[in-house]
Amino acid sequence: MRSSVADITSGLAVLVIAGMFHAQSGDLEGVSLLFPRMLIIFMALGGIYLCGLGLLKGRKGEQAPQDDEPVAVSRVVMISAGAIAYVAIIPVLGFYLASALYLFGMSMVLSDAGGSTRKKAVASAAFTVVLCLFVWIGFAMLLGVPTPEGMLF
Amino acid sequence: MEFIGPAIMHLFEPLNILLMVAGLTGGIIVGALPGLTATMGVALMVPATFAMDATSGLIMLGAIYAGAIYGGSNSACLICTPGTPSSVATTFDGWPLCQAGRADIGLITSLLASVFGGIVGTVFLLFLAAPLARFALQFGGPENFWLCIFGLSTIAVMSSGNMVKGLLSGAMGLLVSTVGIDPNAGVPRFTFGYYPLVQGVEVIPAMIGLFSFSQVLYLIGSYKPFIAEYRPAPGAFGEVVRALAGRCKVNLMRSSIIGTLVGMLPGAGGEIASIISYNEAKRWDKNPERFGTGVIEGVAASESANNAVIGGSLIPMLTLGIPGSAVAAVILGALLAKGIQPGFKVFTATGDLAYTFIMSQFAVNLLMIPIGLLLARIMTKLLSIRLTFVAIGIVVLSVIGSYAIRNSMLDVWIVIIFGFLGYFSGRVGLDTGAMALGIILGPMIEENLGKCVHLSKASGGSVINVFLESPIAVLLIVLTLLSLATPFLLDWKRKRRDCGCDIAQPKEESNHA
Repeated sequence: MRSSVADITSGLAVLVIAGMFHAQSGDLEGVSLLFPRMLIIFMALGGIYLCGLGLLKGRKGEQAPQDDEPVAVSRVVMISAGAIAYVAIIPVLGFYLASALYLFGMSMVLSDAGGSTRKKAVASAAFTVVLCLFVWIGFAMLLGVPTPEGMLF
Repeated sequence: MEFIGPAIMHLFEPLNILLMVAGLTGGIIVGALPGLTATMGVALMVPATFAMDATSGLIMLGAIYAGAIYGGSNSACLICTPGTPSSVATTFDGWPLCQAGRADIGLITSLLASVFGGIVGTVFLLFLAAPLARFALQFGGPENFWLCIFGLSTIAVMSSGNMVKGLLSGAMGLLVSTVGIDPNAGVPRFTFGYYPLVQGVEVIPAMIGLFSFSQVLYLIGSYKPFIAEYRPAPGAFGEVVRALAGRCKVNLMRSSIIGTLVGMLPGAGGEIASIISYNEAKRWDKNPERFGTGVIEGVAASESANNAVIGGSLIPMLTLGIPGSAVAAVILGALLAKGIQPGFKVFTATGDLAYTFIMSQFAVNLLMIPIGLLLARIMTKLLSIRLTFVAIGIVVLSVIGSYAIRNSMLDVWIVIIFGFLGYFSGRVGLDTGAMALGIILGPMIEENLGKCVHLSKASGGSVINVFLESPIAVLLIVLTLLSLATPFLLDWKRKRRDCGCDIAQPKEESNHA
């Protein structure tokens, strides 16, 4: 990402977050408001500074890239969407079933190892079973850590 | 002295050796798993100690505590995910070491530094418990406030490349930490109409999101087949020992002392100690720009400090009955359940138990070397598993780890949201380390600021008077100012050096001519 774009984007992000918290601070007063207000003001000023800096850099033509490493956007989108869907279905299906579906589905979709679909499915299924067993034995049986329960299971 | 001999003899009992080994192994595994903390590990095992005599039970709890604090560094080095919040600073140099194919150096450094820190903390506990406990009592609202601000000043050193973005990231972290019930007035704030947010943003899920889930997104987005290349270097152990005993010895000792002192203060734990020690190690180093690129010094500072916290946190617990950390509070509960009343008399009335427990901390730290090396060797196998499987597995472990903290799906969503925030921040150059620091220190800063405001109102003076009335607070203010000035001083030094080179070069050229 270009340095000027990164500055403007980060400045805007800081301003948005400061704005969201400012909008929520209406009913607060006294010592409850003191600390957040100091931070909101600081962030607002900093956000404006970063936006200004980015614009200035853009005008001067300073467009040195911050990060040249290529990003597989489709893979990032897929695992992000998968993670959101996974967390959303846990309260319905329960932790173990949702995890099994997520592990198998994601490893099928994201696996970069060569080979046929059948081979991929076998590897994904084996991985799913091993990890689910590890979690069940390690967390539930040995440590007694509770897992989220679902409406159905 | 009459208790020390019998205490050492207790340690050689087969049951106690077994409990130390089991406690350490379990502790290291619990610490390495994101979301499972030392507090959780110790608390889970407290009921098991009811079936044992008090001495054996305490030995096992102490072993779990030490193991878990060290264990957090394994995941910090291997997958850039601090297993416990006190390993956040370990990721700064541990992860770059792993990326450079030198994971074994990072893991061995963290192990040996942890052992060193643990032993120094225990030495302080053994010989200086009473005076240090009295010193800890001097810390009130203003002192704690400035201690946190001193910790926060790390951002200036940490993000010296882009200080504005570092400071804004820290402010974002602090603002996020204000979500939930206000610690001073008890008023719910910033819930955005979603009632469960009254519970606030828990530190551990936020850390898992910022470091673990965002890392998953980074790794999946890269075209790498494995997390990092791993080239086991023959003689890595010797290399680390030479480095730690040579150029890092002052760093190790300073960090261990910082860890012990911070550990004594109730509320301030390994996370603050490791960050302050990392900051100090960087400030005192001749080449501070190397920090963050994978240097042994960074890992050594963070890990020796967080393990030294153990001895420090046990000082006020044993001498005053005031726990210096959450884990010390759980151990205190176990002591009380056994009918043992902490206080200065614990060293005389139940001296056998107290000294056996203290001596067991030495033994646990020494046993940690073989056990830690063995487990580290097993954990490096993670680097030979295909990246896709590791990344998906981390998501599942992050979910269960974050849920386990409060049995709440809110914490799982916090992981996801902070994961995206961390990923986005990294893309635009905001500093996730500074953000984490803000989230960790925020509640303590606000609570102590509130105390100072109340104190000033009660005394009819201003807050400034409250801030400046204690010599400890003034010392911390001076240290904070020095810390903030460090990047400017370093920049000035670098410019002078560059200037010197520019002047020297023409001379050399003329000589050649």
